[in-house]
Amino acid sequence: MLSNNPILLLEDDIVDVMAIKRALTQLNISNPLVVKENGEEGLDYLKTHEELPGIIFLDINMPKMNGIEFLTEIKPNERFAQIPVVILTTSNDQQDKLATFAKGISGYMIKPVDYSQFKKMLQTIAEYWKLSEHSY
Amino acid sequence: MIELLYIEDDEIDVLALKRHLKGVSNLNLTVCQSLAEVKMVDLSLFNCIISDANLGDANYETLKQILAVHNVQFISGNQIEGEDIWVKPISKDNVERFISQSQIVNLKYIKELAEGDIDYEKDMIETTIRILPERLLAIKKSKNNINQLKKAAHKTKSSYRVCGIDNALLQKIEDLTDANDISEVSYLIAAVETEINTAVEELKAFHI
Repeated sequence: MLSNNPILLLEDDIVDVMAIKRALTQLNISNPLVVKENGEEGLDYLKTHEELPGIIFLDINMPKMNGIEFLTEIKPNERFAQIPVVILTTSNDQQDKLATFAKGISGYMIKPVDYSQFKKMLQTIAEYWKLSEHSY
Repeated sequence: MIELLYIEDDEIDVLALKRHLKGVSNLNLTVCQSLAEVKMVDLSLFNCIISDANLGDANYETLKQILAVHNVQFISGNQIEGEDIWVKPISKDNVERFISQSQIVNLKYIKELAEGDIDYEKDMIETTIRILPERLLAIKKSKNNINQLKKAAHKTKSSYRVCGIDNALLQKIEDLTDANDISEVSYLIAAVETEINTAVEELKAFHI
């Protein structure tokens, strides 16, 4: 999916990282997975790498820079604005949802990741990517 | 280790339960014979409670109120209409079912993800055994800071869900932080501690 651009996962919980890695393996997604533990590290990664991720999976509740702060940093940036961002959270909180949708996210998933929901979401995003013929 | 509290003032009924529990491993039984004794124990330490519906110093309504937030099964000499109560004598099947339902870990999610890959299952279990006490420590450390406590409780939910643990206690802590009221949060944190300690023991047993 999304050619072979890396997948950026911003998540500080190792159990969730393991679950997402597993789900990607089950879906035969072989894009390199880059894991960063907070928004600051994620932002630093984006700024220092020429090849941008094809998708970002973003936990909301992280130390240093949380998911919403991370979105606030990247969405006004022309270079990063088009990267699809899927929020991963344990929260069903409407305020969180509204805050992140207002910042232009592509999807929202409740953790731990439900395999079939995860699969559907990736397929939808891959289709969107094909249709938009967007390339970095 | 499952912690079972039996609230019963009839010594013969206590003996009957002890007999049913013979050979049950991983269980620690505590007996209280009156409400006065119940008030002296920390109820948050127990995973399951079996209680007589009528004690010398407390009736069913009082006991129901005191035990409301706990995993409790009442037992009585007579059926009480509209209430889910066991009728004495206590049955071994009922006790075993109640205890097995009191096991808090459920590996369904991990097994689904593992698709038969035992190494992955072990890896997930080992990691969770390591992570859960860290999450508990974060909750305990932040008990006087509403924002930190909310974050710590919220963060723990994901590990709970991975292990199939009901996150009602964590949700209650979050709800209290949302309401800016953490005056009674210590009790919930103690219950979470019991829950996590039990979960870790159960996970270790799965791991073996």
